Amino acid sequence: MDINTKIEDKGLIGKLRAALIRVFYTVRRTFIFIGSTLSLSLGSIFFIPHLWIGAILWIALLQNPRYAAFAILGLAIGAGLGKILRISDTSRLGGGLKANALLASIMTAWLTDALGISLVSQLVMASASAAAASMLAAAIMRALTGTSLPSLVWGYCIVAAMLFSICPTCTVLATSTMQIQPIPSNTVEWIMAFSRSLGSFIYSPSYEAGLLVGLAILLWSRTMFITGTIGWISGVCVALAFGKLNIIYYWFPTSYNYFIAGMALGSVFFLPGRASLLLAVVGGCGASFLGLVLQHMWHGSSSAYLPISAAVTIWVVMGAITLAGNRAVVWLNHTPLLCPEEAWWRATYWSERFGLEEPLLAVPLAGELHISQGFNGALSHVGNWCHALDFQRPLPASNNPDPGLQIWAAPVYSPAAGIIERIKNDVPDNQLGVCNYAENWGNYIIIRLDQGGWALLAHLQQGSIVTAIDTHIEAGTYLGKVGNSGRSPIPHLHLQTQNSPEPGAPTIPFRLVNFQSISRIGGSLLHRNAAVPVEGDIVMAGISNQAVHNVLTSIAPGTAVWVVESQGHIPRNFRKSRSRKILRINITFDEKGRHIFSSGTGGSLVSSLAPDAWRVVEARRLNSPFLKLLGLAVPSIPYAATTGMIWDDIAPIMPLGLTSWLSMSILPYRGRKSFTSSYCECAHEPGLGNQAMQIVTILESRQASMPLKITCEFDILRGPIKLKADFKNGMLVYSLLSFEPGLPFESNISQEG
Amino acid sequence: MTRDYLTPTISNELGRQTPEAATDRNYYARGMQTKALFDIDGIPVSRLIEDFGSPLFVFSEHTIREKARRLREAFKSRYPDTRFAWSYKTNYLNAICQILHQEGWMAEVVSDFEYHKARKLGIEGEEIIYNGPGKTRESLELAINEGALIQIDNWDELGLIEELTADALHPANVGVRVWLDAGIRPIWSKFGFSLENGEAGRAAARIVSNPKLRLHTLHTHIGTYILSPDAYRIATQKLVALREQIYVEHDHLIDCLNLGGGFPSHSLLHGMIGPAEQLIAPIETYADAITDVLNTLPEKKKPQLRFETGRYLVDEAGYLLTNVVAVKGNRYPASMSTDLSARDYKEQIILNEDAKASYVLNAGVNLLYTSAWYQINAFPSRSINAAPVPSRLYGSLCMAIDVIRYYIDLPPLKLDDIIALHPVGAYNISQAMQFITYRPAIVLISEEGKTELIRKREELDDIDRPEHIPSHLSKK
Repeated sequence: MDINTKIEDKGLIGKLRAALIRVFYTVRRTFIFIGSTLSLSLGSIFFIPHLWIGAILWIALLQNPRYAAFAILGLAIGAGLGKILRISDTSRLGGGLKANALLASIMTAWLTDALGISLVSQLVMASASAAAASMLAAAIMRALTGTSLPSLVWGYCIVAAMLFSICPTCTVLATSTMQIQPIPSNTVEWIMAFSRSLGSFIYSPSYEAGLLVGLAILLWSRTMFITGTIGWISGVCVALAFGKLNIIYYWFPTSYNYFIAGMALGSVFFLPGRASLLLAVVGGCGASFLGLVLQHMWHGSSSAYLPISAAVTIWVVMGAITLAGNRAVVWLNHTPLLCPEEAWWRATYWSERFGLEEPLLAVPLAGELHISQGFNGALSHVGNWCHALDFQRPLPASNNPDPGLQIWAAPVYSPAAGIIERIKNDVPDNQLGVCNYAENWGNYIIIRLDQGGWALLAHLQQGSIVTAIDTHIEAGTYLGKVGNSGRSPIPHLHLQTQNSPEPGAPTIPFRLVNFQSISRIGGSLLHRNAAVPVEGDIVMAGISNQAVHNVLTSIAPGTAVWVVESQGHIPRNFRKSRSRKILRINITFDEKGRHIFSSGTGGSLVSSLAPDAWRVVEARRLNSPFLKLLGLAVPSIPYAATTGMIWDDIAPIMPLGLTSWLSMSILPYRGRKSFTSSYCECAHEPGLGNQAMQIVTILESRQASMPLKITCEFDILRGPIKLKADFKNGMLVYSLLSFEPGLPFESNISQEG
Repeated sequence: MTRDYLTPTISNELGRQTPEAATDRNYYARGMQTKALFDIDGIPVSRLIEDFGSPLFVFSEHTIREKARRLREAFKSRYPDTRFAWSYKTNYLNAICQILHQEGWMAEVVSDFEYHKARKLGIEGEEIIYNGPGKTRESLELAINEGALIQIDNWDELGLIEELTADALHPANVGVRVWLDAGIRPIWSKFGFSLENGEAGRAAARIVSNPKLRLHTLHTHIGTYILSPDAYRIATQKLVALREQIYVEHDHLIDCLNLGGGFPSHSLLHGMIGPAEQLIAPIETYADAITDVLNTLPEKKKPQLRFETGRYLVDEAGYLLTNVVAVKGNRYPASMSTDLSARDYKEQIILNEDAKASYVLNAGVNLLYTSAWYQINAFPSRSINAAPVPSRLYGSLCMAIDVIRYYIDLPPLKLDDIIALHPVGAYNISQAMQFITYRPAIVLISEEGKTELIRKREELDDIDRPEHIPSHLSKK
């Protein structure tokens, strides 16, 4: 039923109500738009892309209403210019168009305050400097496109430096309005100096403003505050050291630079961690030294107090560190819009799940395989070539005369998608026990992987390779046959990845995906998402189970109504906020075709249908006990699941609860991982008689607040239909009451009303 | 002759015949006696036939009231706020309906005819539940005006009710019929809105948002002759959940949950083996399953529980007395046959099945519609000192399909023997068709043991009174 029919049904009262609701939503939308523009712009100066926390910064700025008014003017100009230039700076942290314009406008307010010129002139000046700062910011953003360097507040700095150089007396006059800060002599004074320092970035060097700025940063991220403070202390130490050397350094007005540089390098642009604490120190020291240099270079001009020293330090350190790419001592933060703790958690989570951008390869052979040599092998996988696997058949099969069980002439399939870059196909196969030392790799194929890197498959049978150079192949494309060519005394397949196309280039780490380890003792099948098998392992490629694949790929968009039953004591994290027993979960798709299980205010869980498995990939503002349990119950379900198969994975759900929230601030520095592993067993695969797929999960967690066991059922079209969590002293059962198929996208639903 | 041990082989002799034939070799395989039915509530069966003719339907008021009281006790002792409605279609004889109304039953009707009948019996509109997929516009209008509870079956009906109540001064009480998966197959998806795909929730939402309608009841009826009490538990859980959903989403707490009927009587389906008392769970087990769920609700949120039970109440109260009008086939156990012509075996060979004694009764399947699914028991009215043998009961219709029991163990019967068929109280009267012959009289044995004729035997006039012969055909 669409909204129009609903209104017709309801009569006059209904129409009135609907109209009021529309007005409410329009007003709300407008407020959110204005509020977000204001608070995100000011927030981005301090690397805080958060609506309500940004508002705290505005309160700080409102200490001087004149500055706030000018800031709004500058913001409007920056936003207008952004519209004209058709650029959005919503995702720019540390300074976009609006932030630069806003700061330039505040700067003009400060500069013109003591001049005694008319308000109109002041406003014109402010507008001009805001426009110039945002134009410069846009130009710098253009220049930096494709680099990892942030645009920062360079636009504002350049405009301010220009204005300061035009009218040095203005700056002297303006500075005279500000309090002179004596060198602190005791702890309280030091704390006050620190606080005033924080506010001086926005020309509000008062305790109150500084406290508010500090509070905002602390609320957004504890690690940012810690690294900023470390930067500040380091910078001040350097300044004091220069003081000891009798070099004049009026450090207080520039000291916010130490904080900004320490914070940006220690936890914003790089992920927090032990090494990044050092970066914070380097940032603070560097900014302090540069501040000193600028003061002396510009002979005490106010330009030396602009955030130039922080910006230069950030660029220099970032440039130096990122040269090493993935091997750098600290990880670049690819999600700066998240708070650093969460960004760190996510990055660690994905590296735990799939490695650090290592190529992911499928098993290139069918049937049971024996890893006769693994990474850092005993024989030849050593030194520069340590990341390689040798595949053979397990022993009983090797003794079996059945040719189907022999590795010799077994078909070789591509382990990943890519382009064939090199082939050798004419090396004769060796007699058993004999190597051909003239041809190290024998017959080989080198594939340039779509995901980056090169894969080498070696020792193939002479003349068996059926593909050609420059052919694009998919994972699973037939390539040739296992042989015994090159340095190979017995038939086997050698697989390695390397960072250049030459055969025998140094290897890089990779992981095998979607394979099963077969335990000869227990007989159970352990499915691995992405791992490196070790020497002696028996592995087998995961072959999609049609029934499981059908159930998982058929999950339809729609609305599911769930019934909740609870017994006994349920830990607070999983307790329902209200005693209501009904839960509505909307399932929609995002633009990447991923499923979003959304519970409205309870947040959402995103799952993707990867080539090998249904996998939970993201939790957004997750608060709903149901979605938390679903994520923990099935972080992933491989299509290869069969009754009795077990696998383990970790859910993308951050540690829950207030204590965890606080402890997250120190986790990056403790070097301990905080993931909850889920050990899943497929108790029933979907089968005869409409039997749903049942998965029983045991959680590896020391926390008493976590469930001991979760059982969930999946059915065709509807996806999850039952979820039962056993806690130490209680039980929570969710059963699907109804599932109404619906429209695929969130926008459809909001249009429908 | 060799004394070596030979492995046993299955002989051709056994292979030629059905396993039942092997049983026949044991004369006593079916026991020694067949239960006879001498009287009903103390009135000898033979006297009933003498007084009212044959065939004759007989109902026991005592049995109906006993069953009604047991049902009421089973539920009310567990869940006091329980009400029952008499399913008219199960048996709409006025006398039967009145017995149940006297016991406090509401009326559950599924057509204009049944609605009129209930009103004629003096049942107020508020005491009528109007169900079914085929309600006429006129009857709906009447039911709305008289304040009956309409349990809506489909979107079209909902649309019609919305139209009919558009100008009403007071909201009309309605219910929603819901179908759901309680583990029973086949699912009765013919009736109502689907719970599983959200349709029922949408229908309820539409009703709740309409100020002219008041959603009073959630109704389901998971099937008939449900042998699993657990299915009712699931159905109750699901209805409670749907009610909670509507409460949470629309702030409307539905007054009443109606779980329909479907409780089995002590009648067995074809193919069921064993005593009914063992196969069919007592009604108290069903009451436990349902009320266990409801009693977990907080006191303020407990709904009224309703049922529309039919078969369970009346099936065992009804008998059809008939006479044997012809004896056919093999009269004795095959192994006892002394006839050297081996006539019995010839029949067996021709039919490729066991030879049976066959009896033609003076009533047919036109009166026993349920015999298609149920094993209706047959009791002689005298004790017969002979072991029961496989027999067949034919009806009197001139149609090959008129077989009441293809296979029943009976002692040898004689011509004119009275055979009481039981239980036949549910559906057989309301579905009996006038075909080939007149429909029999119906007698009620009151609790005091008085026999009352509650429906006369049909006469020619009853059948051809509505007919009309066009004038051009009336001339000879």
